[in-house]
Amino acid sequence: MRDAKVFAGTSHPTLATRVAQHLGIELSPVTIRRYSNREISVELGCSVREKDVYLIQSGSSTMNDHLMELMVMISACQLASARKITIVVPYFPYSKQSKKKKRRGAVTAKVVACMLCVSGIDHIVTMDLHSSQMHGFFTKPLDNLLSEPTIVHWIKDNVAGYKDAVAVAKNAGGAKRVTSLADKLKISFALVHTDNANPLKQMSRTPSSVAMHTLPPGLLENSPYSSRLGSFGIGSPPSALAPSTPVIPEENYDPDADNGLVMKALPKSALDTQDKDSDEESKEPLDEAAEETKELPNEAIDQPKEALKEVIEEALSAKKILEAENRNDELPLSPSTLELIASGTHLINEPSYTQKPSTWHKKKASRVTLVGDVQNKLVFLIDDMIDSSSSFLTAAEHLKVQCGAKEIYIIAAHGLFGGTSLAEIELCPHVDKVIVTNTFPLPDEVISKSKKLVQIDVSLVLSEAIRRNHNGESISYLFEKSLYD
Amino acid sequence: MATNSIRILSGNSHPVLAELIAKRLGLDLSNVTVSKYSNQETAVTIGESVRDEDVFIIQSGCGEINDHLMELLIMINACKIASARRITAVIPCFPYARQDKKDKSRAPISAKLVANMLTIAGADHVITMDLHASQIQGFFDCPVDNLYGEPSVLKYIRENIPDWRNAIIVSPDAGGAKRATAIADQLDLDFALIHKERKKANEVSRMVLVGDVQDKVAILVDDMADTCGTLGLAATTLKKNGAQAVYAIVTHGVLSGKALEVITKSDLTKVVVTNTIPHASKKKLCSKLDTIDVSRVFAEAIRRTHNGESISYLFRHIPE
Repeated sequence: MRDAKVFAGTSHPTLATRVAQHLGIELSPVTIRRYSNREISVELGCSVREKDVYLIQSGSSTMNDHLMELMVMISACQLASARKITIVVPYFPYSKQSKKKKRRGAVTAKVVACMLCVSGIDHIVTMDLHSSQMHGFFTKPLDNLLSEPTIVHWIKDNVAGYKDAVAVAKNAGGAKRVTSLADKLKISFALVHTDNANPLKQMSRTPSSVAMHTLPPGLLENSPYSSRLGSFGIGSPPSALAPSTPVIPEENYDPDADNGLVMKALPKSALDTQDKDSDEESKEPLDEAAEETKELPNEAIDQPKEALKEVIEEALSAKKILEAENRNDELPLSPSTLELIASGTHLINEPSYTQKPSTWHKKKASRVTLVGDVQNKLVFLIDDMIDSSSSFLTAAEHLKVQCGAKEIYIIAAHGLFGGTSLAEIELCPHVDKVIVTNTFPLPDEVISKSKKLVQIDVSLVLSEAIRRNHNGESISYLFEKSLYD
Repeated sequence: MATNSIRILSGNSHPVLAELIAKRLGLDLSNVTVSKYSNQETAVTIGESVRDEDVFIIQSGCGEINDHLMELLIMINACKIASARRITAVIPCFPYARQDKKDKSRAPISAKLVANMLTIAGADHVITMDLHASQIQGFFDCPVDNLYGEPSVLKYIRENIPDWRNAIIVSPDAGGAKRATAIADQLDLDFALIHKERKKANEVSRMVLVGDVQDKVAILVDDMADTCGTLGLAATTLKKNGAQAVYAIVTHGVLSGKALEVITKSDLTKVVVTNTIPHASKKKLCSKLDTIDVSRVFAEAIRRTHNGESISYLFRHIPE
């Protein structure tokens, strides 16, 4: 590509390298440093004057740092007189917060869009935005690539009995996306709905319902621990994991039992499709913070089955090692910052189920309903992203146990796998495979540990979009056809 | 400084709704003359002072939609230039809301364009109802209150549909599934979905019902009914699948083209729309139409906005 330079941020080097390979060029050199106060400094290693610059940076588990890094890179390119700056953001950060869901909520995706536009971009290439309306948040042109053709192609190649499968939407909001996939595969469509509006009434009404006790809303805010834990920025403290893990021996699914603390809670956030998105807040636990967590009184941790505990601990330690690596030589956040957050402003990591079980007095239950038929069928359980796993697992369990599904494949474009969700899926007997694309960086350890995980490579789509953009060709071909044909 | 001054202005799109809102607020509509020059340009004269006033301009997106949009923009700008303290555009049905995404290659996002135009004209605040996609809120740089027709719809179902406890909420397309489930949850009813299936290439899409409506009263819910083609087909599908009766409840009843004919001939028992769009004349022509009045919701939103009170109460409740 003439007059083009491709730079990669630090969020997803593997994907960036592959994209560059497909384009037949080398990634241009850039030095990204972190100062001890965690500020980011960027130095481009080659001239970009009058060049078309492509910056590849995805969202990641340290979302905010990587977003900032991207903006600093954009600014550096602009100051260095680049002719055109295109950012390639396979997973767009904060894309779940694209509307005002709650009272007095923010439209954070719009804020991110504004920040990027102000930094000086001329064009954005992204993939599978959570809502296509996000297009309108930008003042610059955006190409929203679709992973659908690639996923469809993968299914046709790798799933033998796909013609007899059913595409199931995990929630009503994603129904449209799923019907489109079902049409492409020419298979039937169904929908799982989790109803948590009038739950107690319904428990008795529908015998087939799976009732779960969840935390009443507001508890998180009131808990003496939430602010403290949250302020330390712990993604998923060990104490919190036990009650959230829906890998449950069946006898524990007793809606009437009051005292079973184990596994009773599916987090409210998991059942509420809108809520599972705010993991981005901080997933960089500090070592001292992790220790703090263990000191917290929590009866729930004593209860779970040994096997489960082991897996979770394993996953956590892996996570810790990883984060230690990520952090390299940076200094941790100073305690004073944390105190600031702790006073009044509650920084709550969802899902964070750090309540003492005794506070679960206001029980709330939910009913899962399937609309459609999956009896003896292979099920593709689909959403656009998978972060926390609990809503998927609840749906999978319902589909297999109550509705007689033969096999269940979870399919999502973005595999974020926050906390220990991949380990939870690994343990869940109802899920047979998890299929995601590689838009979001996952550590190699995590990938190699999971037997169910399949990552579909979309680097070719991204590189083709870059090539076509650079040559002024139409992109629309990529919306319909897979490049791997 | 006058702190408690409020002015309600109405455009030509929906004078009846504006009257109802003003009446509920115990105010008179301010004097505005909107005329057209012979070359079809719109001219606006604000008949009384709005200096340092809290101005609310009521204009819905309906009928001659472009003329009404232009009228609204000019009114906003007239108030801005006349030193109004704050200008709130009350747009019961937001124009161009369906063009909110680039669903096809090279499609424009006209909803964003309208949002930009309103902001540039001088609107400080927008109040609207049941935006086609709530992401449109993010198109604006000023605050937007998206009111819900849902509480009014729930009330209508409870009070006017006999045997509603035996009803099932149906979404006529996959995109509206979320809206339907929200209503079904609150009424503690089941829900179903109609899916336009394209199993074979080039085959005419056929409607497939996902869910069971046998012997039930089916209530179709959607945010907008235009030509009513989808509703008519959906009703036929539901009847074929054994539904006892089929109601359709829609927030914005555009009812253009052959809509009335389609409704009259269809299996629909009743089509219920809110009065965000005027349809009094259509009601005379079609006995199946029914109205939900949402003027009180807008009146209360205006009152609360003016007094700096929270709006969120209105998301769940209907003001008395």
